[in-house]
Amino acid sequence: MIGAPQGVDGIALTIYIILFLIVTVIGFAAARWRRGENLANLDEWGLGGRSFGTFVTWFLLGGDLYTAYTFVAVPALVYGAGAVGFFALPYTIIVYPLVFIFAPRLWSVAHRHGYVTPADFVRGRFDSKALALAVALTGILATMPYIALQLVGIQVTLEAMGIKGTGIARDLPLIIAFAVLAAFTYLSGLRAPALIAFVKDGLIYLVIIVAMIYIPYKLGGFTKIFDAAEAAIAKKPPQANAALIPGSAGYAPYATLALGSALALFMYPHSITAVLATKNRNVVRRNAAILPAYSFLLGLIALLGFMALAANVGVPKGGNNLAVPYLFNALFPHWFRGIAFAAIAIGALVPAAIMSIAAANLFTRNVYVAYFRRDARPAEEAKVAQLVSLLVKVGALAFVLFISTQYALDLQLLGGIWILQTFPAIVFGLYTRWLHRYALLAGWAAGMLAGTLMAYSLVNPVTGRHFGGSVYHWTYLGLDFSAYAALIAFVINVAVLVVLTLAFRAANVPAGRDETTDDDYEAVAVPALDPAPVG
Amino acid sequence: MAAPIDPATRTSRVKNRWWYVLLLPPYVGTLWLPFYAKKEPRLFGFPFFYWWQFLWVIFGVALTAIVYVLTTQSDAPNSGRAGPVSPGRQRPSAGRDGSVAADR
Repeated sequence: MIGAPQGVDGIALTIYIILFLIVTVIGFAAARWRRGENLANLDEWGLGGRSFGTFVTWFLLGGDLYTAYTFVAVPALVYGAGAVGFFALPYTIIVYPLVFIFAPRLWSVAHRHGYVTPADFVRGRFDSKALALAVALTGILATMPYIALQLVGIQVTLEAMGIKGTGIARDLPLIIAFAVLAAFTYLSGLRAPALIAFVKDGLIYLVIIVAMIYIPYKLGGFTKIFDAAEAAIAKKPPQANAALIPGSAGYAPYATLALGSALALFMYPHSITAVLATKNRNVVRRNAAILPAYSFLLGLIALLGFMALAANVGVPKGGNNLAVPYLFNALFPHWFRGIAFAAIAIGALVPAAIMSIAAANLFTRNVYVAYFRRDARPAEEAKVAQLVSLLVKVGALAFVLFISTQYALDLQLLGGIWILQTFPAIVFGLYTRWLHRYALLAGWAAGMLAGTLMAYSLVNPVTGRHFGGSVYHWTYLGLDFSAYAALIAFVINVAVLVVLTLAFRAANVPAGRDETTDDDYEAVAVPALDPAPVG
Repeated sequence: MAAPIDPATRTSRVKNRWWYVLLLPPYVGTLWLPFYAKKEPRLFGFPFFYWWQFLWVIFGVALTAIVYVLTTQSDAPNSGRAGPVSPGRQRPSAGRDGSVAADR
C-alpha cells in the first residue's frame, strides 16, 4: 500500500525524538519565563500571570485552537468523505467576528472581579452555585474528548513511522510523550504551552509551505489533484456519503456543522483561558481580527486530504486518520518526514497542555473550592490544580480507548455538543440578566440530555459502535432535516430556557443577586481585585 | 442595572456599534451553500466551492480589521475619562507594565 511504513523509519524517528527533546527542555525552562513575584497561586500557574500581549497571545491562541483537529482530523474527513470535511474552513472564518463581539466583555468582567474560569463568571452573574457547577463539569467533560483527539494525533504519527506492536509496547511511546507533557505542565503551568507554541507554529508553517509547493508539484498541479480526488470519491461506497461538491441534501449538515462549531469553540475552557490570560481588552479584540489568518492555513491543510486521494495512498480500513501521515511517507524524504511528524505531534501537545490546565482551573475553582474547601488559600488552589491537570490526561486516555475513532473529528464534535449547552449562561449572560438562573439550568439539562441521546443514536457504520457521528437526522414535530446535533440540542436548550424564564418570573422565584454592574463589561486595563471568593 | 457612569461614554459606544454590522457578511457568504456549492468557474484548478471559501478568509480578516480600527479609535478617549469616579475606569497607563501580579 502506498505510504504505509516498511518497518521502523530510523531517520525520521531520530529527528522526531530530537525535536521532542528540544520542546521538553523549553517546557521545563518556561517556569522561569516572565515569572511573577509569587508562583503559588492560580493566576500565575493557570493564567500565566494574566500578562500576555498581542504577540504572545497570537501564538498562544493559535497553538490552542489549531490542533491535531486541524492537522489530522480535518484532512482525514476530507480524505474519507470529501467536501463535508471542508466545513472547518467556514467554521474558523465565522468564529472570529463572534469572538470579537463577546470575548472583550468577558475579559473585562473577569478582570475586574478576578474570575479565572467561565463558571466563576456564571456564579457571580446569576448567583447560582449549581449553574456554575453545571458549566464547570460540562467544560471538563467536553475537554476530555478534545484532549483524546490530540492523543490520536500523536498516535498516528508514531504509527506512520512504523512503530507498532501489541498491547503495552504499542502504547508505550504515547504514554512517555504524555508523561513528559504532564510533567512540564505541572511545573510551568500556562507558560509552558505559550513558549512551546512559538516552536510549534514555526514547524507547522515550514511543513505547510513545503507541502503546498512540493506536493502539488509532484502530483501535477491543483487541477489534477481535484480531478483525481473526484474520481477517487466516485469509487467510494455509498455509505461513505462522499462528494467533491455537496449536493442539496448536504447543505444543512455543512452549514450547521460550521455554525455549531463556531458557537462552541470559545465556550471551551481552554479558549477562554487563553482569552483571560491576556493583559488587556484590546489584545483580545486585536487577536480576533488577525487570527483568521490561521484559517487560510487550515484550509490548505484540509486540502491535504484530496492530495492523499490523488496520490492514491492506501490506509487500512477505518484508518482515515493515517491519510496525511501516509501522504508524507509517500512523497517526502525520510528526514523531512521526521520534521513533519514532529510538527504534528508538538501541535497536539501544546493544546493538550492548555486544555488540561483549563480543566484543572475549573475543577479547582468551581468544584473543589466551591464545595469542599471554601477557605482554601491561593497556594492550595494552585497545588490542587496542578494535580488535577494530571488526572484530566488520564481521563482523556479513557476516551481514546472506549470511543470509536474512525474519524478523530467525531471526538471533537461530541465535545462540541456538550460545550455548546453552556453558551446561553456565558454569552447571553454577558448581555442580559433577564434569563432566570433555574431556567438556564433546566435549559442546560435539556440540551445535554437531547444532545447526548442524539449522539448515542449515531452508530459508526464501520465499527458498529455508538457515538459514531455528529450529524443527526431529525424527524419529529413534522420536521425532516439533517443537522449537527449540537445545534439541534442548542435550540432545544434555548426554547426551554425562554419558556421557563417567563414562568419563573411570573411566579416570582428569586433570581439571586448579580454581583456585576453594566460598567464592569466595558472595563479596560484595570488592576484586578483579589480573586473573587467562591461559594 | 446601574446607570452608565459617563453619559458621553454611553452615547459614543452606541453610535459606534453600528459598525458591527460589517461583521455579518462572512456569515451569509460562508453559510449560504445554494450560492456556492458548484464546481464552475474554476480558479487555479480549484472548484468554485473551494476558492470561494478561501476568499472569505481574506474578506473576514479585512472586515474585522476595519471594525477594529473604527470602533477602537473612538473608544480611546473614553477609557481615561471616568478614572476618578470609579476604580474600574483608571487610565490604561495604570497597568501599563502589564504585570497584574505586580499591582497587587
